Amino acid sequence: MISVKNISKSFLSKKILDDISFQIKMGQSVAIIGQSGVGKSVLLKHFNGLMIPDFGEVKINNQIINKLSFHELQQIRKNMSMVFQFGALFDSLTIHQNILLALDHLTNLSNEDKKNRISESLSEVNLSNVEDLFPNDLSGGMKKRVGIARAIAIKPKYILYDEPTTGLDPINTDKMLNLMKKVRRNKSITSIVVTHEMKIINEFSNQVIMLYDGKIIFDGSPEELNSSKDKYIKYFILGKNLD
Amino acid sequence: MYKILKYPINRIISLFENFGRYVLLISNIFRSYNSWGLYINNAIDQMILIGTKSIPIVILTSFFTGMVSSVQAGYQMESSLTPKWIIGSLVGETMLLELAPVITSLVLAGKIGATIAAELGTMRVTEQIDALESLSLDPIAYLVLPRMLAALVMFPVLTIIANIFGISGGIIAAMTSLDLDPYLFLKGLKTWFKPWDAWYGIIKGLSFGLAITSISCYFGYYTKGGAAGVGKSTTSSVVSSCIAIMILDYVLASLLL
Repeated sequence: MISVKNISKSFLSKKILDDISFQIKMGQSVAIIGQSGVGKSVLLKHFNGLMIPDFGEVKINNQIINKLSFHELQQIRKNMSMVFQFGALFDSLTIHQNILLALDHLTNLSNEDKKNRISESLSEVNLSNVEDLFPNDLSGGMKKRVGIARAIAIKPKYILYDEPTTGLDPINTDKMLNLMKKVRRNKSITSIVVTHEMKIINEFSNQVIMLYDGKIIFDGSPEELNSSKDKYIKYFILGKNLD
Repeated sequence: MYKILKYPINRIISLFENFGRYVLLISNIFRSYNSWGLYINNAIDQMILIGTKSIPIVILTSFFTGMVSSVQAGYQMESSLTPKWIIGSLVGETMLLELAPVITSLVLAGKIGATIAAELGTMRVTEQIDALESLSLDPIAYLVLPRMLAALVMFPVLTIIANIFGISGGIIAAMTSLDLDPYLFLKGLKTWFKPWDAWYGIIKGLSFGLAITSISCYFGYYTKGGAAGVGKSTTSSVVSSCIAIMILDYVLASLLL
């Protein structure tokens, strides 16, 4: 279980997260939503310790991760993968090496098993014959799929998606959504996704957390979100001001 | 009054902050010493980048620096009674003690320092460093350690190359412009030569190399913002490396000579 308790985070004098608390149960698919710049990605990076809160605590399986040493945090990260907004693939490595880097460090598989795991992960994201290419040879959508392949190759218990459909056309957005569902179904993992995409909110998540001005203004199911009478939430969902 | 003082005060505070973070970055290389084996393989690639690929520019700059030193030494002695073979000694000592390590390092601060800062800066703004960390790798050991090791090995080698080609340039210029017999040039070179002078130059090259690499890694690693941030980090790394070379040059001269 992930438990966030009273966390606050500021950059210079600007408060991005202000006394936020919520819980995520194992196996849940959670969508974190809100306007651009509201701190969704900042919040996401608190789950794997890429960012540390100024106040409060983030607990993963009863371990307060913002109080762990570097090596203890590394142990947590072995079960938690992250898919970055633009893939964050390593430019100087081939696609094969990008995925191998994670496997080399996080698993004790034999070379043959690692090779099989890489092919398996790439075929899971519907990519083939790309192992020897470099990230710059791929389109934006393909990079995101390689990012997912790299994330699932280590067989994590948690997977964090940072705006996985940003910059994708509607068809590729749908393909990405199906891929995320497939990953969740096959691996039965806890997924946390930062998104603006209503399709992901409605079809992928079973818990929605909405941020506004550093606070949580909604925490509930997609159905509850859609039936909310709150003007701001309605504005966000429909994309037009009803006033 | 406050407005006038605000800028210099902020700069001084920022200088101390940067220095503290720089020390932390360097000390954090050692936090993953038990898994250095994983990261050291990258040092070979970095040795090629920092060392092998820099040899042409080092040869070119040191060769012409040696030639200029020779011609200028000849010009200074044109009307004096000092024998011309002294030029060999002057060029040799100047190259070994100062010009080879300093000119080489200043050129490499531009070439290597800018490359490292831009590469790491781009990795930072495209979240590749975050990705390394999220994969449970130690980004500092993965990115900084191999570059520091490569500098440790390659800068002394590049300094030796600069010494050889600088002195060769001096001999050729002495022959062609000053009509000085190479035998006499070498006689001058040997007369006041002390092996320590060569070692001193190599120690300087090594120190400058570690300064350039660590400073560039620091600015690249802590890049903020997008493309503009990468540009700023690159400029800061080159400027700071050049300043560090000048300060270290004086410190090492005071301590070792």
